[in-house]
Amino acid sequence: MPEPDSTVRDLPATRSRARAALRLHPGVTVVGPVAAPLRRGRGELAVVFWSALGVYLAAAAFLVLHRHLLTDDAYARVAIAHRMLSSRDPHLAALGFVWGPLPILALLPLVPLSPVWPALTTYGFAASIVSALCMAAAAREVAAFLGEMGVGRRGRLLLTVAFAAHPLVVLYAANGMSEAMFLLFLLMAARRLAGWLRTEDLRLMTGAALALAAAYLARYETLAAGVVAIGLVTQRAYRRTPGAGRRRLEQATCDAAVVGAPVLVAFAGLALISLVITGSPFEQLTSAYGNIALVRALGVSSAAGFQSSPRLASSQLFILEPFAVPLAAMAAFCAWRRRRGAGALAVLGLIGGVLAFMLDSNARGAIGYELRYSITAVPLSVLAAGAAAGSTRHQPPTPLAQLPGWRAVRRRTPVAVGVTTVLMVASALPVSAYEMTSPGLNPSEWGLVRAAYGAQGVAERRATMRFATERRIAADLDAMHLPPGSVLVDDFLGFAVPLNSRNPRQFVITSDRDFQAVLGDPAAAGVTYVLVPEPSGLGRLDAVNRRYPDLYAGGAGEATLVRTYANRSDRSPASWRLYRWRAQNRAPRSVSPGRQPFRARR
Amino acid sequence: MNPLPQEVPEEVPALETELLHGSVNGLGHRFPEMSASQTLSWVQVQFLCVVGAVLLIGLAAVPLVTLVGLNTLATCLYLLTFAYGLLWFRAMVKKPARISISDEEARSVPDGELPTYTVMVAAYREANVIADTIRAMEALDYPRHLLQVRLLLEADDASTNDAAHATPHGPSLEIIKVPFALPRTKPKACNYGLQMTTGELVTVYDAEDQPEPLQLRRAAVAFRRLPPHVACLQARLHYHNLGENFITRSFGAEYLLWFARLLPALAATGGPVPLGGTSMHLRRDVLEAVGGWDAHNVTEDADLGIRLQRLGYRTEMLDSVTLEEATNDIVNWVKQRSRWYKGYLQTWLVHLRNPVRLWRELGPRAFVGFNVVLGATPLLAALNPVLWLLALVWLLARPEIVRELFPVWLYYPSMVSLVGGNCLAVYRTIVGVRVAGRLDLLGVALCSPLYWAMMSVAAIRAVVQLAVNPSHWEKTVHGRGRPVGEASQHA
Repeated sequence: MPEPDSTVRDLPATRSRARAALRLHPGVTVVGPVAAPLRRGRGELAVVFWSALGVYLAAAAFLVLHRHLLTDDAYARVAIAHRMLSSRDPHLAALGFVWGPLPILALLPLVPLSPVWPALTTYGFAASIVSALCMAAAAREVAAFLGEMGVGRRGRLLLTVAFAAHPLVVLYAANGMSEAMFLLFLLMAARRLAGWLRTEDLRLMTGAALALAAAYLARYETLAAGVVAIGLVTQRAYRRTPGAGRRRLEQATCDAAVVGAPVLVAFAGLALISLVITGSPFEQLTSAYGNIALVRALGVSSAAGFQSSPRLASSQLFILEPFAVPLAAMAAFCAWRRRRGAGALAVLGLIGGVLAFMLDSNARGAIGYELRYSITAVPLSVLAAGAAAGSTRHQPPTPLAQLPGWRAVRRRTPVAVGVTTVLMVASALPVSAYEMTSPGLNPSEWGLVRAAYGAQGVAERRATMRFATERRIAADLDAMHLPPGSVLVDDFLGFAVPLNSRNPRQFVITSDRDFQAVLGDPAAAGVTYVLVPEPSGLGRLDAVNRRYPDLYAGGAGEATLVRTYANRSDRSPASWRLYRWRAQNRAPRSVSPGRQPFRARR
Repeated sequence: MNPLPQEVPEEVPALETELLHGSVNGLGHRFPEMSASQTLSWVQVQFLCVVGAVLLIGLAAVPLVTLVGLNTLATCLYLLTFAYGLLWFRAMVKKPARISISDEEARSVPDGELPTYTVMVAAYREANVIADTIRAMEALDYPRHLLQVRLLLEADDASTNDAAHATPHGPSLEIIKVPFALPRTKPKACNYGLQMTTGELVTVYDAEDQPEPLQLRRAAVAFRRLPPHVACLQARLHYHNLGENFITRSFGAEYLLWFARLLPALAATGGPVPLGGTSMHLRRDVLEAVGGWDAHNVTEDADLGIRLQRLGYRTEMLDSVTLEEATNDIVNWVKQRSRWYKGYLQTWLVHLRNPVRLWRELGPRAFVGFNVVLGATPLLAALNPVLWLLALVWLLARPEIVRELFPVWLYYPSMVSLVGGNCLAVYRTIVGVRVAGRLDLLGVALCSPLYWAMMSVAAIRAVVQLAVNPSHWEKTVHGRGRPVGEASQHA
């Protein structure tokens, strides 16, 4: 066999050198990629991210680990991730469909580490880590977006700080709620959409589309932004495409499909899976635990009632960002008049769209007047300020330039606008820091905020006691070394009990596929204990209470009271009761020698 | 291990016998380790035997553990393909780098400075389209004294020969009768034609192709300006009969996406670049140096692309279009796709004979891409029905065995690859449709699962054929897209 031709093997062309040689070769028109977006300032963005992350993690550690100020929904999400992995019946559908899946899925890699660091689950710190990461990345997006809108270095720094240091933003970076992830993806979508409006780069359109889908999987209100995005893209594509009307419509529809497909698939996909698994497509609204039922249950019991109150909704907006409306108006003016209106348009469209939707729902009393529903006002104001400031820096020449004194005015205008907008945005920080402690304006979180500031009043102390009762219950149950499937509890309110238990498989919880069967006949299923909350307020929605309405009061003839746990925190339920269920046709069991006697505690 | 073909008729002259021998075995002599005359090397056979033995013992002794192990391997493969797919998507949405030569530039070069060009069309049983082929070749804009167009017809294919001779054509077009020899494949014919021609640049077309007339000029100009290690320019292939039915639409959307975005993305990020089967313009000296085409490989284009890259050459995309005809009936489509998948597997197995060397020659990214694009595509397509069936059974009946096959740590990653992979595939198609601006193809993106089912059928056939008859070339019937013998009008 002849020797292979060695000259062929010796050729020096490696991949990178070959590519370089191709680029440098003259005389060849290479139709290449569109020039990449501004690459300078990457170091600056890294500084923003890491410093924000450091601050947020410190705040999280302070809030959660030091002060034990836990937030319900965040803690519940950790519990869901925990039950997806460690419960008696781990499966994907344990995810539930009341909330967006992404914040919970993000916890899945962290929850298994809880044997090494228990605080990840027992104090829900895993959620805080995720929210800190997301919010730091969101701050980085804000800085990058401001740069693309043409804001100068100083303005960028100040405005980014105005976002990142905003009290509500810091709180929601630290407390593990899903708003951080939602803001991150919404900002990513807005920035890329603005870029696409400027350059028509396909990369940016697909990036925006995927970011919108991710934002939807974090929080459902993204749908408002999705609709606006599809509208913006369709309109712009229609206008830009040359040719006959039919051709333009075709191209515009294709573009709408690219930007809308991911979020629509996310929407339809979740609805479909929810329909298949639970029988109803829009669990977050219609389920027994969904928003409507929650509000009804809460509204009747709270003194304020949940009537429609546009005044409260707008007050909440005002304390978060006092100058949101003027800033939005300035941005709208930029979008209309100036060349660099792309950023303003995307911001107002996407972020403004979500905010408008949430304000409307809030004003109607449909969602419970929580301050966090208006959190999008913060990036909206900051970016609107940036759009206004950035557009004045790069003004096209006007005929007015001939007037005497105009040049002096023009030179000062960017500074004037910049200073004004920064002041407008910066004023939000002290205002919100103070007003977040007001019970009227922050009905759900004022106790926690005050406790975070160090106040020692009754309400504040109660905020630090959240879930302590459940921890005690879990410890007591753990001490009994029960076999799997011994304790029946609805983890809608009782999620903290399995989460803090070292033996989570002893619980039969709502997400177990045989929960309804066990609930119907606990004795036959081998259940020894039933944990039931007081049936007032949210406790009325508890599955055990709904099935056995008299259980809490007197055992319903089926169970004997073991003990009552008073809940000294500021959340429902007011107390828990642990009942021993009657054994199935057997004499009551005596305590076996291996078990510790149940010591009564004060 | 296939024996060397011996069935050469007695009356074939000695020169032609030698040429035939060269076209079948040329690569085998030159680079024996890269020839598909044997599908598996001895080392590969040993490796497969060991793996097979381990599997059998495992299934007998600890069946559940073995099945979970296989499941884990499959999930890893799916996740790898998904991850690579994400990177590929990212590269694909950038504007592709194409070599673009304008019409004026193409026409401005005087004849004296143009190289000689060989154009080969290998046709077998194409009596009803050969007239159109000849017309398309006559329409090429290139100086006739520098052009060598060769129709490579099989000597025993009387109908095509007669139809070809009946059609009027210019002096630059000649008909070559390729004597019969196994394997009866297109690359064998092309190698035969290559040895009988002298053009400095070479390209190949199929019988139903309609290349854009200035394509040869553009390629010639581009080659002149490009450095010598750029050995191949691949033009874009496009279908003219897209709108006929679901199959042509799905096929068309796939092709559009491939040539407009996916293949240029591969070329731009360092490979691997499986070539397109036609309209790949090559430098003859390089083509001969790398051993020509592999006569035993049924996707000789993919194989050539890999071999070129391994031996240090580059492929770039040429901004020029060749119109082709999409298969519009399902049987034909499945046969063609089976051949493609079989060829992909052949190419994959051949080049994977020495993985370490392949890694060094291609580089890490192209090595992974090679395994994903050429190996995983047909294998996962064949595996899909099994897993979908499992999912369906689980959804309907929830048997315990399925739960045991998917322990918690495997369940969630599989879910990720299932949902993520499928969503990415559909979204990629939508983006491809948008790039082409063809709204009528949007519907097929949503019906992708149906198309995937067809691909799975083809993949299973391919795997079976690979074992049974690797170099058998199943003929695709052409000429169904338009009436026989009429002048071609393309959309």
